[in-house]
Amino acid sequence: MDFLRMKDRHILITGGAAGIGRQTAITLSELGAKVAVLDLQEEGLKETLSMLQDEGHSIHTVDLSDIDALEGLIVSIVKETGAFDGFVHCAGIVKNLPIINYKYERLHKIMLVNFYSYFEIIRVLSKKGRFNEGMSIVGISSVAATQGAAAQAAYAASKAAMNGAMRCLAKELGEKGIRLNTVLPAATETAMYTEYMALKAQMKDTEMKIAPNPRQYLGMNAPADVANAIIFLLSPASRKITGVQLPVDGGYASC
Amino acid sequence: MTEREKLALLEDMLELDEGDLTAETALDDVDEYDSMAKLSLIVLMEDEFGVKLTGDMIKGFETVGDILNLMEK
Repeated sequence: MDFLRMKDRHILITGGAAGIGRQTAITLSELGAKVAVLDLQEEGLKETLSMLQDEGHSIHTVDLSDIDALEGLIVSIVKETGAFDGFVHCAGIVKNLPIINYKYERLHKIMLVNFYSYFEIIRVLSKKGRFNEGMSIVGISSVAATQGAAAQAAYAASKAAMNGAMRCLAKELGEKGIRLNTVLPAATETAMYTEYMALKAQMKDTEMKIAPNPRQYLGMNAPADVANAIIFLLSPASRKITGVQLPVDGGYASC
Repeated sequence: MTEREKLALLEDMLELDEGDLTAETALDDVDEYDSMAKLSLIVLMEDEFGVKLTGDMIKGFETVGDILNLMEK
């Protein structure tokens, strides 16, 4: 039984040059979906494309902080390869910003990529002719949106903004048959996370441990653990689930 | 940017008074130079000077002068 029924579905993914976004694109291609992958990193995008199964996928190098350029790009993709059945916003800037370093421009840059581009793409995609019946939108939020962490205020605020917008838009776009949810991963084994942990260990002069917070008692996420949750929410198998924040956190939220 | 202006950036980041730091100041003697300050230094150097600090570079800093040497502007 094809439980997920993703064959020939057209899915837009931001942040697909590495990590969770790349894994989501790969798994979707293995399930027969066609993906359009956006990222700033051209080399990473090409590598992702080479890892996808079958044909019909596309990659697009784009700076998501250039909000005004997004509608033109998405309309051109729709014209070329058809309306979308799903959108996954994986792109995000993860930056440690102690409050003493705060400047409006720094916060704004994080909000542009992590939140404003998510909001703009939803606005563009939810217009008639750009989405197919039952489109599902999945935003990659973070446990940081619900848990405090020093130097993470800007990042956490951007992820919490996604959750708040998602709940409202789920109601607003529900009458068009569009569903919205967010996934809240905890520590996930990506290059970005490894780099962060290495830096943290060196600053504290301790040995690097690639280990999550002990509250994440099921252990570190692999990118596939998060991708699997995303794909479930994209699929018709979750057709009655909307407006939900789904933690993929190895038990973190239960502590 | 003059050396005094660069020192002022570091003093502001560490919440020190003007004139507290010189190029010769040993970082081990600056109580405010803790792990959060090191995070702040990473942001400051990247955003103001386009210098991406690594953990190894930070570990190698002994004096304020070692940081000033990377502040090219």
